[in-house]
Amino acid sequence: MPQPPHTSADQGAVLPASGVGRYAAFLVAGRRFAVPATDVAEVLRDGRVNTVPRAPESLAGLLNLRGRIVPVIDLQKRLGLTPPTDQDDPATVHLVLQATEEWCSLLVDEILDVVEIPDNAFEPVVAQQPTDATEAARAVHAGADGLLYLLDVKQVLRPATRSRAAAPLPTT
Amino acid sequence: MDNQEFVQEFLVESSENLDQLDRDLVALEETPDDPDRLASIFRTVHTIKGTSGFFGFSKLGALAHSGEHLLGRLRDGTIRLNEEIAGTLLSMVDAVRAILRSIEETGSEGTADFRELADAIAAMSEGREPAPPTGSRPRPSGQALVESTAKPAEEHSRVSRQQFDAASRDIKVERLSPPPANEPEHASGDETTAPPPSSEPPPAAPAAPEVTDAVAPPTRSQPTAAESSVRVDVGLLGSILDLVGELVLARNQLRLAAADVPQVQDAVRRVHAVTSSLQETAMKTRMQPIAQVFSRFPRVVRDLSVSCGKDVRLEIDGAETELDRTLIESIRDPLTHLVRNAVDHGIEPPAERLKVGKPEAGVLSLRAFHESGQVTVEVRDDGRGIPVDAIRRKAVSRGLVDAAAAEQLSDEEILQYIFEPGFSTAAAVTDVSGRGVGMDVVKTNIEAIGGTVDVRSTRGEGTTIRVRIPLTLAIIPALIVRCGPQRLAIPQASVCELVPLARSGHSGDAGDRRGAVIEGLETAPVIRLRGQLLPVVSLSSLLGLEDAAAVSQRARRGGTVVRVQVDDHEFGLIVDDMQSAAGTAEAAGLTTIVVKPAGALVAPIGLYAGATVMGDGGVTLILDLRGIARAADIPERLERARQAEERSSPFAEADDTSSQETALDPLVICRSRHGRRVALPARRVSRLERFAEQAVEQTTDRSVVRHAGSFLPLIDLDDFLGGTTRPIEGGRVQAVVVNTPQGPIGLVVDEIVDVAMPDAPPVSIDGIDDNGQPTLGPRRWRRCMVDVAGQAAELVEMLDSVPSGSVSGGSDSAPVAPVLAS
Repeated sequence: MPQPPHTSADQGAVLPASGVGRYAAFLVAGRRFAVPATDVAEVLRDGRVNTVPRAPESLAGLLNLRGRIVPVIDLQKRLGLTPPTDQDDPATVHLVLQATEEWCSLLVDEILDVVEIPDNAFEPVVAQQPTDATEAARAVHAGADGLLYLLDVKQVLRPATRSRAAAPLPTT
Repeated sequence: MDNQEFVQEFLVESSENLDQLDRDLVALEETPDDPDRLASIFRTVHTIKGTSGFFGFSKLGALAHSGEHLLGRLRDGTIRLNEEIAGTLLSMVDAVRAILRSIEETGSEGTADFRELADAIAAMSEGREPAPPTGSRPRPSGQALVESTAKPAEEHSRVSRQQFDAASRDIKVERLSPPPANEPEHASGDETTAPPPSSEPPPAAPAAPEVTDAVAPPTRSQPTAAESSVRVDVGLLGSILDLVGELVLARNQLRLAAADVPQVQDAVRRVHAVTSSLQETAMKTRMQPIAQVFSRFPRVVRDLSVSCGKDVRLEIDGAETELDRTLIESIRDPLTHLVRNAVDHGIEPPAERLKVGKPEAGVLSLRAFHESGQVTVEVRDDGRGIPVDAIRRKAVSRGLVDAAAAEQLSDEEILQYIFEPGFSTAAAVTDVSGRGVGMDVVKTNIEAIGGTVDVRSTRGEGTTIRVRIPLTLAIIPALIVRCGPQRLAIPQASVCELVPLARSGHSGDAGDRRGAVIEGLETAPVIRLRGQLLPVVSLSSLLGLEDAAAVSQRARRGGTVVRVQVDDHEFGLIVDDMQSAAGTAEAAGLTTIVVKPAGALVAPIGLYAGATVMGDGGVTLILDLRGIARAADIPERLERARQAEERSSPFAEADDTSSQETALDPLVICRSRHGRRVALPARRVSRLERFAEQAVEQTTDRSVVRHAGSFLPLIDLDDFLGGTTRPIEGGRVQAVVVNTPQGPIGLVVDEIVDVAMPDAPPVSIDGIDDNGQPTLGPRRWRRCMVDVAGQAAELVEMLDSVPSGSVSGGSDSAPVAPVLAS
């Protein structure tokens, strides 16, 4: 369903009005993203991913996590991001999330840190032209290290609605 | 709070007991003097009475008390059970059920007043004189008691007084078996068994709870099942099963890891054995006999046959057949619907049955049995059958199919329309069924659990509906296949057989000739299996693992066709080979897998039913064969083949057999070396071969090639058709090997274009002689034109032989040999 450009702003308003949240930050294609730290089940550096023929590009495959079958999302493809030219290694770090009843793993380039961010330090993502990335971002935090996008995991688990991002997220 | 828990337990237990009561009461009608059953019924009612007293459910207690009293009289033989008493007792069961439902929903006994019913029961147990009968003729004394109980009964089974009277007057009411042998001869004309002389009203029968208390065994002595079983939360069983699944995987890994360590072999073997039995046992905890569903049907059929004024005998077979608990739940409603349909629409009223020479009582047979890893449940009636023509008309009038096409459809296909939403041909909407909802829901519900429904019906003889459902959803045997880089699991229940593909040698001589050959090209490949054409699908190309060129290359290297059946469609999946699940001892390729959901991202792809974790820790996708068949257009391909089969041939009058053969078959389309587009009936074609030019030997008048231990004559197709030939250019000879009564011959062509169904029936281009016979001249084949894939082709229909003289019918009759040798 096509969404008006300001939908992301409305999503931002969903955030609680006060308090401080802990977030796990990570890098994908040179951009910084975060998910609530409580959503993270574990981090895996050498998961064996079995590909799924005829699956959408953003589904990298399935991972066996001690008998639990976990879909692996290639975040870079899912968000339609172009990696910086100096980066050629594909993402290999699994950030396994228990955010939803069905676990999932996000393929990221690097896990950064757990950061504490006051709820009121997030701002809505305002996009002139919505992309897969802006639709998946609930809010953005402008910190000392640059922008940190808070991912909406439920949205990430939905199939991408746009083919390729026309305007990728700014890095700073 | 505790009390609440006890009430809950009481409700659960009572509802089970009531189901048992239904069964026992209906059974008791057949054997009214069975003391054990009577005692069991008595105990059950007594338990309900006792417990409701404990919780202070006075209405329930009073009702159960009156029932208990009546049962007490039955037990000590002062009254003998007849249908009215049974009916009243069943009404009491319904009333108890209603009160329990009210307790469950509102916590109180509700406002419904069952005093009338209680009075009727009391009157019955005292053998009190009934109200004067309203019927047209005198009735046995017991019968009229029904009148007083009819009202409460109406609330539950919706039997109108009129219907009930009609039923009582004209037919044997809901008798589920022939009358007992000991029934007095004079009573045979009556629909009810008159109370035997022994059932004189006893003197001053007191409402005697003391008596019954004294006789009734303590509530603890329930049927043995209760003593030896424990009520376990289903969720708990589910998690046990999950854990066992994990254990199975760990076991597989352990066996793989320990393969090289002799010291632990014994222990690993034991772990293996124990795990296997544990898995089996855990599965069994979820298995329940289908009797759980069947047990309600005697009552359903009894009530229905009364309300429909029919006489139905219910036969149940295979009630002990076990299947997964979750499946039992999901077939309960669909089966009930089918049973109701059979009684309401299927079985005729007794008068109508007598008129057509059938026994008065209809037979409704419920049968459950295991069949190739599935459970089949059959609901069969010997009624009037489904009116195919009415369905045909209805389908046309509802615009589901146009009139002309409807005429072409077979009865079996027409019957499929009953599964369309809102489709009903019932002349009258009755209470029971005929509202046009149902069969589509039945089908949807059954398919949701991976089952199938099919219906067969013969006008005047009855209808059989067969429901096939998987045994379990959790752990299934599966065939593990390899396909390019992928390992995939195919549920074994759908696998019919494995057919090795022939490996063709590069020079056309060597290679493994044993096995099937893929005969079609990219669009519609088939293999020939015992004379039948089986459409095949390359799993690699369907899953996008390899492109078409690589697939046909690989096909030449061999492989295996897995013949599978989904619904009524049979097709073959081309795979590279079988894989044994790493480290397990099962036969290569076949292993037990734990089915896990593949997740919301994989499901929409429509090709996978789930996933499993293999012994080596890898994830393997489980193919959804129904989705695969859809993606590969299998139903359409089979449909086209079937339509081609039914099409009439241009030679229908001239030669029935050969013309039908053409109509049955897809065509092999080839380009002759002169560039003609020629179609050959695929049925006549045994193989497509390529020979090295060097392999062709010359005789005085023709070419032969050494082939499969014999010699195969080669004839240029143009030459065969009477055209001109063209010298061979490449180093290869492409031949279509056709069977003739004189043995196979190889027709040399330039290229095989396709194997396809004709778009339309072929049209003869042979002349017709005065007798209406085609003028063939010396030819032993007929020539037609046919459209295939939008392009015309010459169709060569061979007759019985290919005499040597006929091959050079044209002006340019150069023998084949020089052509091939050039």
